[in-house]
Amino acid sequence: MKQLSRAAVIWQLAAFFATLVPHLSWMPFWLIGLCIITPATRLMIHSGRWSLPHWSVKLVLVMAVIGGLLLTFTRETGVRATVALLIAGLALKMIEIYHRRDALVLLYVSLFVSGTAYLFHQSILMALYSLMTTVLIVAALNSIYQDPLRNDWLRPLKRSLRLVGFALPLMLVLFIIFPRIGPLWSVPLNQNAARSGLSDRMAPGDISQLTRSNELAFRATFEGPVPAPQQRYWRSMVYGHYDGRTWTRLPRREQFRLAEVDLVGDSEPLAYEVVYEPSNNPWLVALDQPSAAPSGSFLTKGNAPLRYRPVDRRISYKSSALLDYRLQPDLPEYDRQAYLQLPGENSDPRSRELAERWWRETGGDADTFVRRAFTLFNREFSYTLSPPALSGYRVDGFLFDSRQGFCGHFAGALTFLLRAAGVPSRVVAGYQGGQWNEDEAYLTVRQYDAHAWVEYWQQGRGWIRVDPTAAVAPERVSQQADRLFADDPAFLSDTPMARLRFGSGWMADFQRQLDALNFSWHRWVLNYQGQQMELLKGLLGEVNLARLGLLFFIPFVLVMGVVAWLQLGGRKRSRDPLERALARLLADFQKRGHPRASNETIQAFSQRMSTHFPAMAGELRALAKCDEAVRYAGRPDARKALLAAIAACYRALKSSRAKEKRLT
Amino acid sequence: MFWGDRKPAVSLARRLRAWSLSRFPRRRTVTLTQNRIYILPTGAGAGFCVVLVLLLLLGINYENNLAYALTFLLVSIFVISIIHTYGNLAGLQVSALAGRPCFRGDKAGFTLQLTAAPKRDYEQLCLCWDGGVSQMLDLTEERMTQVELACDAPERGWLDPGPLLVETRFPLGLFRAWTWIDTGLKTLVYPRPVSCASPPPAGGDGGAEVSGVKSRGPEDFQGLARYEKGGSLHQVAWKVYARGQGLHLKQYAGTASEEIWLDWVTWHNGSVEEKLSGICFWALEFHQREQPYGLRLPGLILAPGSGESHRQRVLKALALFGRESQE
Repeated sequence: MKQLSRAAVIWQLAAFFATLVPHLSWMPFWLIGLCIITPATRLMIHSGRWSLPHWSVKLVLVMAVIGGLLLTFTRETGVRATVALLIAGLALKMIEIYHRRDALVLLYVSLFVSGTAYLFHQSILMALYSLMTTVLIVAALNSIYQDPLRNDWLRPLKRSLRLVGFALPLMLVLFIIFPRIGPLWSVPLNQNAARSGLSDRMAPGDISQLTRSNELAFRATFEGPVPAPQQRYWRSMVYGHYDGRTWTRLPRREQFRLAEVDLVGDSEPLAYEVVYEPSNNPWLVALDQPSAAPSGSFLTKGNAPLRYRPVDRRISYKSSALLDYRLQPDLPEYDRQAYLQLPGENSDPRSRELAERWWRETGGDADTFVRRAFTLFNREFSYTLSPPALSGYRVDGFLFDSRQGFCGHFAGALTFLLRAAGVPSRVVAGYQGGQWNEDEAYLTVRQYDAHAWVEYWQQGRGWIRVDPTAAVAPERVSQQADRLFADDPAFLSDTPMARLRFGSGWMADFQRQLDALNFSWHRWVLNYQGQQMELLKGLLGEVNLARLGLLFFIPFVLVMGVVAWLQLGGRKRSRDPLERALARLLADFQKRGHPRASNETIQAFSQRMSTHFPAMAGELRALAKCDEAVRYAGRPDARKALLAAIAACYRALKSSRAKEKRLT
Repeated sequence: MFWGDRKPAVSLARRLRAWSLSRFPRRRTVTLTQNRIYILPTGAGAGFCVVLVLLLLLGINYENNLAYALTFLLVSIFVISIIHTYGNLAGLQVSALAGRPCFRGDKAGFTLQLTAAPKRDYEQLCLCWDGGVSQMLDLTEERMTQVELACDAPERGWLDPGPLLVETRFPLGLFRAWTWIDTGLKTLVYPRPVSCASPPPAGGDGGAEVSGVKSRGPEDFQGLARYEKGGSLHQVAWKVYARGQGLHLKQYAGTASEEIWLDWVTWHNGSVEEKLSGICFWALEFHQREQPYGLRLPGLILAPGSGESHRQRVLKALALFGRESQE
């Protein structure tokens, strides 16, 4: 049992605290307290003021910690409870790190705990911080194998930097080529966390809640021309059922996959990729109209993407969209009936009456009907993020009394009117617009871009998208939401700092660049599995085992070679040809059993050698003379002569050896 | 609890060692090269690998690429530390200088000299004889160091400490690099001196006067003589010197007059080792008193004499008594 030196104990403390910092954001206060008290105790022991605690004290501490953990994490049995247990163990171990083995346990568990921090934070800063933690832990590991009497406390840090520095390129290579496989078993992650995002039901007013948040919803890149702002309808959910208060999805048509949906496009599909933030919900987004389901998901009959599992972590997926399309030109009768559903017979009588009147006046043409509604909205309605609350018959109340609303109100009311007139229709929820980042060529869509619009169906033309919000506030569709709402006090009221983002000047530029950096980070690091195949194809042309092996081994051998060269002290070869030649000659003499003494001049040495090798006395004399000329006379041409003299000696020595060999 | 006989593992390790030793001739000075440095992960290294596997599982199951990255960083550190550990042994020159004799039951010491390769540091080198106590040392600022490595001496005679083990776990303890060196060093183990009654009068050598040892008492004190250079410090009259009267030697009766013989044949009865221990004790005693003494063993006679070289001759004869074949 090797005892730890004082320097090593300090290093353990440093590694422990560095490991802890990223977890402070969620740790219960008593655990933070424990993590301060136990190292403090260790320091008191370290400085000799206290003695090691009695076993009974330790037992009480362990019991208290177990009790605390059970009380704090009763309902939660996920990641946090596990990590909290590990941290509590580390904190308790801190008291009694005394031997090398204790320190090993502490450091190995610290390594794992610093890895679990990524389950809570994944920013660039977190990664850099974690790199620093690793350097500290490796230094602490080195410190326990260092001479206990050494008082150069920074020496382990230097060693650690040398190890970690050269490990980085190897890590990069491994990161690039290591195959990413799906989870081996299902693991729960942050299920209790409430996330903002679209909900599976829409009461008018719900979406205006989302505009209070500037949280990122998703980012998208396109493999083709970027769709115009008016075309950026990101479809997430279809609501076909209205109960008088809220719109919900039709269970059989909009929640499950039933059959292939009939979708025809006139143009090539536009391929794109989405990096989608965790929402804890199974629905994704797809650009109108999705022609292929993203991997791991399917398209419902309402042609909205639905995932098999909730999105509990950031995912990326690829899909494609038809911007000019015909969706379901033929609608079976039972579907048509479903999309004509209205609550009861008697709800919202004024709206029904209005719809019937318009239907008569427009001569039964749905397009004219919609235009009529748009004209009404445009003239008499206003668009606001904080409309008055509705009660009773909500559609009536909106259309005839309040006449103010948000996209949800307009979409819901128009769908109601269309259905009342006998036109199959539905509400579509998703996101509209987004902020285009010119430098990095990607689109950022935030929660305040959430939107709702309407689709109605016509025989032969299929589902037609109309956006009543465009009628009342056309700038909503053509501009970014942030420009539009910038003056509305309700917009982004939850995140006041975010308003800075939309200013101009260096602050906004900086924000945009930071956002671009974050996007690259998400795309290339945090969601690397989505890019891996493409990157490898780009690097290798064709991905096969032999090429992957080369991609691994060439950098591996290079790095190991450099490390070995530095670590094993590559003999520094002189750049001076004269010195190199001289060194070679002296080495040859040494091989023959005549090393040059450290204090011996070349003259003395050649004199001595001429007694051993009388055959080459002449060459040796010339050598001594030339050396003297170079050293003391300093004539530049003497160098050449010396070089020649050395070469002559070398040859003479070689031939004398050959002669000896022949004799024996 | 025994899971099985541990002997096969031990004998395998021994066979490996024997094989490794047989690959190189016995030499006093050895430079450690990749030919003779072996390197394998330690238990701590295996523990590290367990942590790596857990981190990899974390990365896989949570599809967390940062956890992957951390795992790969640690894997790379693990691999690179092989070179660091190897480099902490490679190029080191180990010279076996000399052995220091000891008495049976004490520890014999062997002096080794370690020389660093140019521009290289060596930290936490661990040296030990087969099964002996290990010694740690660093070779960073100085280029060369000497170390005396102890070895148990349970038997009288020549002591062969066995192969020298040089190992290191520096810098991270994940790997152990080691080598065995057959230094060929050996040293003498003298009988353990055990006090016993005064030597009996030895059988005369060709009828010479028979003499035992007279116990030294105050009555034998004859006087003081001026100290001359080379005189024994044991006989200096320190009290006189302390009084400021200069250095004087105490003169005893019989110190030079009678010959003392330590004779095997006439020695007190006892086992061979007991007798040798007794003779050894008195040899040291006479050496201490600077009284010339002779040794008579079956087949060997050392004429009375004194001084360090005489003492060494006597002790060597005692150490090797009955073990000449080892020489």
